[in-house]
Order: sequence, then C-alpha cells, then structure tokens
Amino acid sequence: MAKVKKSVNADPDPVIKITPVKTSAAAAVTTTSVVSFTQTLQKTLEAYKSSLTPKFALIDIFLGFLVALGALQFVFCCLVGNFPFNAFLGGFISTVGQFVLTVSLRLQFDDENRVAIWKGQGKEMKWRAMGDYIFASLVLHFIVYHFIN
Amino acid sequence: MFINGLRVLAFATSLLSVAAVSVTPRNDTLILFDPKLLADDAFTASQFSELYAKLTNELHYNVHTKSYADLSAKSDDAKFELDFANHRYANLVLLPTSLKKLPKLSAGKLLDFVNDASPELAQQANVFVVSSPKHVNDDFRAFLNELGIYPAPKNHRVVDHFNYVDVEASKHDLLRLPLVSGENLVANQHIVRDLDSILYEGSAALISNSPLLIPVVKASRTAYTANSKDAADVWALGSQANLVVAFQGAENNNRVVWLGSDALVGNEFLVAETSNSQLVTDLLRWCFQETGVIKLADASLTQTHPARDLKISDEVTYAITLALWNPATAAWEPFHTTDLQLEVIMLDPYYRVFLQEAEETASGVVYSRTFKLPDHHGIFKFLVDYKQAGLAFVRDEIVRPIRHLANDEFPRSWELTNAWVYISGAVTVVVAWFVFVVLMLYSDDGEKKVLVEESKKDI
Repeated sequence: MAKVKKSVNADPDPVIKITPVKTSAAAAVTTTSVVSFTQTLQKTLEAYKSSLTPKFALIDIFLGFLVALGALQFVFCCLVGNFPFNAFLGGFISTVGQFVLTVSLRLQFDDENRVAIWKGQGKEMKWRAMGDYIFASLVLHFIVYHFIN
Repeated sequence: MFINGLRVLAFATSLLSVAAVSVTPRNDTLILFDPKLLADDAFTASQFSELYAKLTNELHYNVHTKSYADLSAKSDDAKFELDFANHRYANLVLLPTSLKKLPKLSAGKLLDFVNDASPELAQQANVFVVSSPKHVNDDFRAFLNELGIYPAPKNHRVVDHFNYVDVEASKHDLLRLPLVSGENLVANQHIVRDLDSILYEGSAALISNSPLLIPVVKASRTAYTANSKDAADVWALGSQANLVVAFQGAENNNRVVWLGSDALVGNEFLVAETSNSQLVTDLLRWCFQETGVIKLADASLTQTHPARDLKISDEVTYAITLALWNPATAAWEPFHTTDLQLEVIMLDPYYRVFLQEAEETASGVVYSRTFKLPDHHGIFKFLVDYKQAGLAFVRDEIVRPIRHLANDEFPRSWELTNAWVYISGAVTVVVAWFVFVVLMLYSDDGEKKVLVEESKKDI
C-alpha cells in the first residue's frame, strides 16, 4: 500500500548528509538551502522514477504532449490575434480538458489513492475508471468539434 | 423623348426639372423699366435698346416690357398680379426706378416669386436686378437684403484713383477694371468667362457670408465706395465692395443676379466694349439658367453579387450620371469633374469617397465607385450632394437598409486560415488520445511486474 513512502524512507542517506552541513559556519547558510533544494529535487525525481510503471510513463508523456500543444496554440493566439476566437477556444479547451481528464485517470490508477477513491475495493475498479475516462473524453471532443466552427 | 426625360427628372429630384426647363430658349422674360429714367419714350429706342436686342435676337427670349408706373398702387393691373403669381414670366429684369414703393413687387412678393417656382410644374423664377447709385428702391433693397446682398446707400459710387478712365471733369468714378481672375473677377469659370477689362460706373454692395452667394466682380484693391456728395463719407474700402453678385436658391436652383450699375446694361457700354457685352451676356445666360446647369440623369446602387437585400460588408457599386447643358448647341453634354463625392451615412458619414469617371454615355458622364459596405447594419443613406459655386445644385439620395449576417452566413472556421492551427490542434488531440487509449489498454502491464517485485521483496 505505502509503496511510495517506503521507497522514500528506504534511502535515508540525504538526511544524514545534510546534518554535517548544518553544523558548519553561518556564512554557508545559502549554500545549505541550495544544496537542500537540489537534494530535495533529486529525491523527488528518484521517488518519481522508482514509482514509475510503464502505464504511468505513458500517461505522463501524454500529459506533457497536451501541455506543449496547448502552449503552442496559446502562443500562436497571442502572436497572430484571436480572430476566430471560438476556434481558439475549441482547440485550447480540447487540450486543457483532455489534460484534466487524464490527470484524474492517473489519480485513480494510483494504488496509493485506492483507499480514498475506491474505498479499498479491488484493483479491477481502475478499468472502470478507464471506461469513465473514455466516455468523458468522447463527450469533450464531441463538444469541441461543435464549438470549433 | 425629351418630354419623357423631363417627367423622369421631375420625379427624381426637385432640382432636375428646373435644369431641364432651360432647354426651351423661349422663356418669357419681363423687363420692368421706369419711363422717367428713359432717354426715349419707347423702351426699344431708349438707352436700354441694346439690352433688349441682346435678349431677343442673341439669346432668343420671349421678351415683354412693362413700366413700373403701371404697377403703382393706384393703377389696378390685376392681370399682371395674376401672371406674376402664376409664374407666367420665368425671368424678371428689374431696371432701376425712381419710385420709392412698389406694393406689387414688394420684398415678400419677390421672395415668394423666387421661392415658390415649382420645379414639378416646370417653373423657374430668376431675377436680374440692376441698381443705380441714384435710384435705390426700398422694396428691391429689402429683397436683396433677404438674400444677403447689401447695396450701398443712395448716391454712393465706386471711386478708384488708379484704374479710372480719363474724361473731362472726371471724378475718377468711371472705371476700367482689369478683370484679373482672382482679383476683380472672382475665379469661377461657370458664370463668367475670362475677359480683358470692362468699363464700370456705379454702386457697390457688401455681402453676407451666405454660401448661396457668389461674388462675381469685385472692386479693385485701390478702389473705395464713397458718397458722391460728401467725399469724406466712405462706405466700403477696396475689394470688400462687390460690383456683381450672383445668388442661387438652395432648394430650387432659381437664380438672382445683382448689378451695381445701370450703365453696365446701357447702350453706351455695351457698344463701346466687347468685353462688357460679353460680361452681360454671360450674366444673363447664367441668371436665366442656361449655363452652369447640370442634371442628374441617373443614379443607381448595385451589388456585385446580386441578392435580395444588402448585408454588411457586401461589395456594391454606386453610379451617377451627370450632364451639362450647352446653350450653344442646345443639347446636354458630358459633364466632367473630379470633385464628386459620395457619402454613406447613418447619422454620421461612414464613408466619404470621391467618385471616379467611369464612362461617357449618351446621357452624360457616369461616375462610379465600387466599395465594400460598412461592417455595420442599419438604414443607410447613399448621398451625393454636389454644390459648387456657379453650378446647379445636384442632390441624390438613395436610402437602403443594410442587414446583419444571418447565423448561417458567417464563414466556417475552415475557411479562415488562422483557424487551421486550432483545428489541427483539436484533431491532433483526438488522434493522440486514441493512440494513448489503445496503448493503455494493450500495453505490457508493468503493474504486475512491480507487484511481483514487491512480493519478492516482501519475501
């Protein structure tokens, strides 16, 4: 259940490394905070990598792609002008909406959230989440394609 | 065919039939004279015989003469009153009179005469007023004042110590005006052609700033207008004094010309100077609506892609046909100009554009312009209001509603290149989403591996 927590706690080295730095001179306080930040980042990345399954990787790549596509359309709109504004809204909302739906799918796929969301029911429920996701996405695209014209 | 044209014009605009009427060069013209001021008992043998000959033989008017004495309050000339009120006479020539009051030609009656001539009934009413420094009738003065012409008081004369004609006992009031365009002669090719120099002896007038007034001949800068009995009594200085003034009515194009000198239409000047004779001819022709008469032959508004009604941003073509009357050939000729403007108005002008000469047809010159309607719906007025000094006023107004787009008339998003970016964005999302879902459903189940590893660890 507490797979992520486990993996974080499994590596206690960073905490030990920080301790001697803290005891050094006050002038090194800034260095300390930078170091602790990079270490925190590193730790987060490691935690992320360790918990990454191929499906989560797939979801995250898709999310990144949606962000890039949304940003591209937004920049284009800023540069060229918002003339077919409904078309811009359609295109942009399509990426944003898909992003939101995919994030919610990712949450439901996470075993750690199973207690909160599924009240401890079986892992099969995540395929129900997948079904919801597909249905909601189809509704979203249906609306977008009507709105874009 | 001409009659037909006349009828169309009369309906088209009130100005037109006035213009068309001058086609008939036999308009009834009445000369009113004062027998006391004539050199001879008969008008045709008097000092104005040349004027009479000019009007009858040269300009071919149907000329009548009448004495002011017949119009005095005592005499009961009911026929004249009826004729006058019914516009029996299209043109009046008012020579100076020594009579103080003329109830039958009061200012109000003269104004009514000019105002009421109905273009629909093919009537016109033009007045050619000749003043004399010695005799200024109060009724005529009041009439001229209504138009914005203020003749000098009695006995005032224009004097010029630089441009006078040297005669015996000269008071320097017999002038030779070098008709320099822009100085003495107000530049206006539509009324008087360029002339060398003219003789002038007489009075002057100040004018108001009414846009309907056109000064034709002004006094020189070196001249002044003073009381001939008291040289210190100066009334007007330099070129502020006008010697010949023209007026054209705003509604019906009827014309009034005022001359400050009876000598100008007297035999002596007309015979002595060719340019004097030409000046009087030009003034009479203009005043009696033979020159400077333009007519609106046709005006239209057409759509490039014909449809039931106009809608915003439609491409339309406005075309107007104008012709100029040529009294010499007695025919309508092409009228060329570059300053014709069209206004597209809804409360304010949305467009004000110059019309360009497109072609020359039998009925005149077609001026047109193709343009996109404003991106604004409402009741719009397409107005040509052409008012140039010396030319008949032309006004054409087409009122048309411009509607907004119906909800199926907006361009679809794929017709707009900008939208291609967003459409391809939305399509890409769907394609990527589909690939994503397929991969999610059929990809290698990494979860099992993790669980397996986890269970291994647990062991």
